[in-house]
Amino acid sequence: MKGKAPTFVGMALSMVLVFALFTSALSADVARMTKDELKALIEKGQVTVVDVRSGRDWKSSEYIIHTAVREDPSQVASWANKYAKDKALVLYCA
Amino acid sequence: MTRLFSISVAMGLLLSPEALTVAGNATGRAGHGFVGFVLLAGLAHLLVSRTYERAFTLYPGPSGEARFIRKAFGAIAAVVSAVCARVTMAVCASTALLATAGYVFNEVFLYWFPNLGFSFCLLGFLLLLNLLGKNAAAIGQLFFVGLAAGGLLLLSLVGFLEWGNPPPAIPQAPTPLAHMPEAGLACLLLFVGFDLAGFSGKTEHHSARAMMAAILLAGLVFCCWGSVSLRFVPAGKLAHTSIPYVKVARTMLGQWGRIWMGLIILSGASAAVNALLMAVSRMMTAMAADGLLPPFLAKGRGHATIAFFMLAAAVAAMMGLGMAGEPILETYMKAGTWFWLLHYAVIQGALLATMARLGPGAGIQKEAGDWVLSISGLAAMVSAAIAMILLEKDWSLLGPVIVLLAMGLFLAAFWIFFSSKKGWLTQS
Repeated sequence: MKGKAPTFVGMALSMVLVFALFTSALSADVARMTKDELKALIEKGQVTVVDVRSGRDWKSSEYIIHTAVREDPSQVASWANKYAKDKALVLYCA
Repeated sequence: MTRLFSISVAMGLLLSPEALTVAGNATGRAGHGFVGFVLLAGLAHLLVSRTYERAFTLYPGPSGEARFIRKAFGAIAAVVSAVCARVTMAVCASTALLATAGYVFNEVFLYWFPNLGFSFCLLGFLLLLNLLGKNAAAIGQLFFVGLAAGGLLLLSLVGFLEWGNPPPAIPQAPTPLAHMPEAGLACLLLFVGFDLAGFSGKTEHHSARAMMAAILLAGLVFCCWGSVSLRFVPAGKLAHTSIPYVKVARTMLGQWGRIWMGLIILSGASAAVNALLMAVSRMMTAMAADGLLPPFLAKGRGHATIAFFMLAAAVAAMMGLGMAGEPILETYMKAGTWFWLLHYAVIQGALLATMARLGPGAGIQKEAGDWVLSISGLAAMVSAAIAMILLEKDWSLLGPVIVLLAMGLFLAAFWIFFSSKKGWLTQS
C-alpha cells in the first residue's frame, strides 16, 4: 500500500491538470461564430479575416480560409492599423 | 512479445508526423538521391546502436547507458547529455505532436470537435493506458506502430501499383546540388530516437538488437514512402510544405487518402508520445535510483512513476498555456534534437574511452575495426550537430542550446554535489 500512494497522488494530480486545462481551453471568454455565419459575412464583404495561427497551429493545418490575411499574433501593433475600422476583424487562431 | 515491444518503442519517434514532414521535405530537396541519403544515415545510426550493444554488455539494465557514460566522462556529463536531449524532447515534441494530432482529427474526421480538446483527450488516453499497466501500454504501442508503419507501406504499395489515381505528369527538373547538405542532415535526423528501446524491457541486450531492427524497418518505410511521394507530388512542393504526407495521400487516393493518412498520423503521434513518456520516465527513474536525479522521481509502481506523471503534467501545461502555437516550441524541439545528436556522439566517445581503458578480454573487443567504426559514428554525429547549427540561417538554434546547456550544467552540478554529500550517489 505504501508504494501505491505516490502513484495515486500522481495519477489524481495529472488527471486533474489535464482536464482542468482542457476545460479552461474550451471555456475561454471569446465571441465565436459558426463557419456558415462566417461564410455569409465573407460573401457580403463585411469582415476581414485575419489568420493569426503560428507555430504548430499553422504548420499542422491543411486548410486556409479563403480571403484570409496572415498576420503575426505577436506583432499586433504593427498591423492593427492596416485594416478599415468600419469592418469587423475576425481572428482565426486555432 | 518483449522483442516486438522494444522494436515498437524504438520506432515510436521515427514514425511521428514530424519525421514524415522531415522525410517529405528531404525527398523534395534530394529527389531520388533521398534513398541514398536514408541508407547512409541509417548506417551511421546502426553504428551508434552497435555501441549500445557494447554498453549493455558491460552495464545491463535501464541505467546501463548512464553508467557507461558516467564511467567514461563523469556523472555530470551522464546527466546533462541524457536529460537535455530526452527530457526536452519528451516535453516539447509531445506537445507539438499532440497538437498536430488535434488538427488532423479536427480537419479529417470531426470538424466540430475542438483540436486542442482532442489533444488533451489523446494525452489522457495515453496516460490511462499506462496506468492500466505495462501490458496495456505495450499492446497500445504495438498497435500504434503497426498501424503507422503498415499503413505507410500499404499506401506506398497502392502508389507503386497505381491502384488509386494515376500519378500526374510531373516535369522532371534537375535536383539543385545546393539543397543536398540540408537533405543529408534531414535524413540523419529521421532516425533520432531509436535508442528509446534501451528503456523498454528487462533484458537490455536484446534492446540493442531491437534498435537495429527498428532502424532497418524505418529505413525501408522512408525509402518506399519517399519514392512514391516523388511520383505523385512535384519535388519543389514536397520540399517546402509542412504537410507533405497529406498532399501525397490526397493526390493518390483523394478523400480516402486523407482519411488513411489521418489514421497514420494519429497512430504515429500516439506511438511517438507514448514511447517518449514511457521510455524517458523509465530513464529518469533509473537515474534517480543511482542518485543521478532526485530519488522521489523513482517513486510509484511499474510505469506509473512520479517521473511519468511529471512529464505528462508538463506536456498538459504546455498545451494549456498555448505553447503549441508558439514558434519557440519548434526551436526548442530542434534544440532537443541537437542535444540528442550530441548524446549519440557522447555515447560513441564513451565507447572509445572504454576501449582505451579496458584490457583485452574485459567483455569488449579492441580490434582495429572497432576503432574505425566507433570513430566513424562519432564523426557522423558531431558533423550532423555542427551542420544543424550552421544550416540554421538566422542562428536561432544557438539561444535555446545555450539556455538548456547552462541550466543542465548548473542543475546537474548542484544535484551531483548534493547527492554525493547525502550518500545517494552509487558507485559507478
